Amino acid sequence: MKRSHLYGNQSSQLISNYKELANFKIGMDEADIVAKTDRDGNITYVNKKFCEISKYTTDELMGQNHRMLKSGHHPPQFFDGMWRTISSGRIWRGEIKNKAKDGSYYWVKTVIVPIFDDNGVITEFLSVRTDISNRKKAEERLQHALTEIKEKEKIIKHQLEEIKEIDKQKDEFSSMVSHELKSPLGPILGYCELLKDYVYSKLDPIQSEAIDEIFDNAKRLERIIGDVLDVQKHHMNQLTFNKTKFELYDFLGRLTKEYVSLMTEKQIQFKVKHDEKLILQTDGYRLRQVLDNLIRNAIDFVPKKNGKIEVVVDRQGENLVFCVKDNGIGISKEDQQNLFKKFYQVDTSYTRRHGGTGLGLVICKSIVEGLGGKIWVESEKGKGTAFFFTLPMPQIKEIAAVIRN
Amino acid sequence: MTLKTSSSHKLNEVEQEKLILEEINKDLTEHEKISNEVFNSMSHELRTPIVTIKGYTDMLINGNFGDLTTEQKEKLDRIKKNIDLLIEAIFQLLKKKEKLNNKRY
Repeated sequence: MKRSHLYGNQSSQLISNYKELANFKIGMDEADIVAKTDRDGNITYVNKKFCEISKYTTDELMGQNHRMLKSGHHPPQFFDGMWRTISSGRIWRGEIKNKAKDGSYYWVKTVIVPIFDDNGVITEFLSVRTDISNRKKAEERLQHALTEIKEKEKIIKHQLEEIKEIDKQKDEFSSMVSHELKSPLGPILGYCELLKDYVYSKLDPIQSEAIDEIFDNAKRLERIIGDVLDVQKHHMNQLTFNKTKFELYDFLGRLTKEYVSLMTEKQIQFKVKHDEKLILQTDGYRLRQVLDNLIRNAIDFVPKKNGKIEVVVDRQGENLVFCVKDNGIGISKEDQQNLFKKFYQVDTSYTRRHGGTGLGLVICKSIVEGLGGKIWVESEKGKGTAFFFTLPMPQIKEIAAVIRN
Repeated sequence: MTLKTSSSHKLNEVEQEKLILEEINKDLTEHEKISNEVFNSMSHELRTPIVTIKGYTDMLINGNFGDLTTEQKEKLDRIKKNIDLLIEAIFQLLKKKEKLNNKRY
């Protein structure tokens, strides 16, 4: 075989290898940010994308140490670690924040590969990078928002404590009111009775009537002041309600629909059962408020998987009974006593995990009672919970009756 | 954690925190409404009978409904004293309530 022929084969092999590598290089240069440095980190090659993202020209970069792009974001340990990795011949992967020529910042996902000579000595480092600035910016914004919101939450929790304190003071205030106003009433009532005693004093009929007025009003005051809690309850029932007519079927249909995505996301089986085709005349907004509150509570107490929440509406005699039941952890008899009291929460870590103030059930109670119903709970620790509330029937008319009219 | 799940995880956290705050806010507003309604109604309900008592007492003492014996007048003076005490007490308590209310939520 002719020597030149042998050499010919080798060189055409070499040429073809070279072409293959050249194509790889073109591909790489087009795809991403590429650079090479010598063993000391001084830049020996940059591609066009490198110049674009760093905003430096090739001339400005060549021969410079890669340190010139430092943003100050990473602690020294970060780069120490990187150097240790690559100078021991291993590939380093990570995310780096760099500073461009105009002072702006960019993030790059980076792979640094050490290149060896035939003796296994590192001659240079090849780095391939991808611009991830957008993703990083979005993450930074989210983190900011999260921090801000956590601060707001802290402030509000603090305010909640203040409110509890103020509420306590108001309750004490109410008892003070009760006492200080009742004291003068005693004598007023007493002297009225004396004046009305015909044996003791003689009043004209008109004067007598006037004394009666004073007496009656004093009695009225006594009643009002007498039990402030009763007053509170009484007035809670006078929450303004906006009563309208609507179909129970549509109302529940909308409710079901609006919970679909949340229930799916939380993997909770959610059922709404009702057989009645009824027209309600009540405050739909408030009714929905109560149901939302109960359903939201249930969501927080059901198990992570196989959570089940059911809303059942049933007619029972004079009332329409609503039930929201779940297969959650249940409520102990002890906690059930305090459930509808202000600020009470079954789980003290509840606020941390689920938010809320402990006012939800209190509000539900005042709404339900304001609409003429009753609210109660049936539950056992470990056996799920069912909240019941009623709406009195006089507010309910059947569709048939309405159609008849 | 991949890039995508890390971002969506953070996003979820932010959304959740927002929901928590919204819920707290709603509850507090509702509670304040109820509290104020309670107190305003009570103040209002107290006002009418008090005014009535004071009115009739003054008129009786002034003789608008006829003359009074000394003893009768004495007793009415006592009634007047007490209703004035009650009015003063309410006034003081309303002032305190102002102060409490101004400890804003």
